Amino acid sequence: MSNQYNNNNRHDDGNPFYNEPINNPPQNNQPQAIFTNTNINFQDYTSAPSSQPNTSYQPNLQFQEFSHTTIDMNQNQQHYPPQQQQQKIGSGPSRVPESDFYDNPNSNLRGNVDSVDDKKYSFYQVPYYRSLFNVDTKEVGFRLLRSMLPIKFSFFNLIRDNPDLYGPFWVLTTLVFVISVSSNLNDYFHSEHSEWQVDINIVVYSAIAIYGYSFIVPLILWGVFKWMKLGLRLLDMLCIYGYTLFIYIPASILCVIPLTFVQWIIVGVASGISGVFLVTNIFTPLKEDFTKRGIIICAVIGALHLGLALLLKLYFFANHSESLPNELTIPPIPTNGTIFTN
Amino acid sequence: MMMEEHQGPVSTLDEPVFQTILRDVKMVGFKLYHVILPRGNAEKALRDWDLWGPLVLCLALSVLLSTQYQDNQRALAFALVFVIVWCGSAVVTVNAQLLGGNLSFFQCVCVLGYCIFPLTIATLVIYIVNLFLNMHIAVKLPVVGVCWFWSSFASYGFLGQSVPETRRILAVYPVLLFYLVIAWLVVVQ
Repeated sequence: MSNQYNNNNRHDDGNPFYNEPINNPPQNNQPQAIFTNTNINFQDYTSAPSSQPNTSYQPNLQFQEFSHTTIDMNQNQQHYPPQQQQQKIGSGPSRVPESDFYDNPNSNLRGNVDSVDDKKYSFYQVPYYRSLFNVDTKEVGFRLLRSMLPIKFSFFNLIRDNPDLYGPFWVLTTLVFVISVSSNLNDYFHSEHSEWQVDINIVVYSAIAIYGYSFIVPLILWGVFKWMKLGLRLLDMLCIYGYTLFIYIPASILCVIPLTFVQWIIVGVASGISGVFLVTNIFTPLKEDFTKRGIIICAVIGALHLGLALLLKLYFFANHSESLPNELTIPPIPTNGTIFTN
Repeated sequence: MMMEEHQGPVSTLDEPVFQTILRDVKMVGFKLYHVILPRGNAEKALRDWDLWGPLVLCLALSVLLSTQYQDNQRALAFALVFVIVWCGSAVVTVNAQLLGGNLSFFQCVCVLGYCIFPLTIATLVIYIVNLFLNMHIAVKLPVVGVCWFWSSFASYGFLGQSVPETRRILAVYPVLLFYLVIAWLVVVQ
């Protein structure tokens, strides 16, 4: 935040010598005689007619330049961090905030209704977290659609200004519910219908698996990226992991089709699409790192994602008795209306 | 307790305990009546929130549902229903608040808790019918589906109006999911 502010100040002062390297003080290159000749102090400078466009007079020009460097002297330390930041891996042309959360949670409200109250809230108050849920219906829908189309690799750019936790949280919650429902239905089709009893443990297990996967893996990744000094926040990681799992919701609904190879195809396609989406998007900031670290990290991410898909198929949609049932159509299950079901 | 303030300065110290309890029961019944017949003035009726009604409904739901399970899953089923009802309504409320909704926490929890009533009725009906004959899932499904719609509709008016127009779906979807989870637990009992 403060860097941009200083940049604006620098652009606004309109000095033609702005482009001179500030870290390289020009006094060292100049002959010392100029300063001894002019023999100024600060009061002399402020009273000097600096607006005089006398470019032919060489000492006067040097004099102006010197005065400018003295003014910028205290900004030298503040100008240094952006230059340092540009040398970092993954910090592209756009600015990456250093903090993991916003300094001021209300800072990214974009003229919405709740921008009226600009009060400071403490961390235990609910409105403090409002910036994490600062999304509209259209935006969430767009992000959900984007998570199913692994053709553009700039999801981090999309969510950079406004990473939300609404989408991830409700995608995961819906997924836990959908997995427990369709896992139980899958059990129902592969057992004696009269003896079948719902297994309520599935709810707990799927909650542990889904919430655990999409919280612990981003946490570790965030730690690794912090160590690599990439400018990615924890919110970005949580957001992309939550949205990545969205495609498993229609996949899990379709997995009630009690045919093993159809289930394998569905889970394979879903994990392929979401895995490609996840790996390519995470690889984008790693691209400028010309070591093998990025490839190793992406391989680990892909392997973990594949592991989740295998867990889904081999545990939640496991067919213990391989007897194919009679009905091959999708039975009427309680699907919620807002979910895209093909 | 809440009603006392509206009835004026009537001393309740020397009345029988029976009357005190009866007044609270009447208050709970009055709110349930407004849930069953959702009208325009439901908000007014639910302005004085209490958690007695949701507690009773939730306990009834948990007990009825947990009796349908095998012995080793009974305790888990009871706990799961109880936790889903309370934590679910709290999460839905906080979600609406985070989306910019202007509503009080306990009032919203109270509304969501009272709006479980149609699903509790469905559970009771299925429980009673199951005592005599086995109810097929094709019969259960429409019954519970209607009750799910009823619950969602009753709570929609309260939650939908408090959030901005562009985010209404985002606030209402968790409510639908919340009642859908409970409806699923009712169907598979």
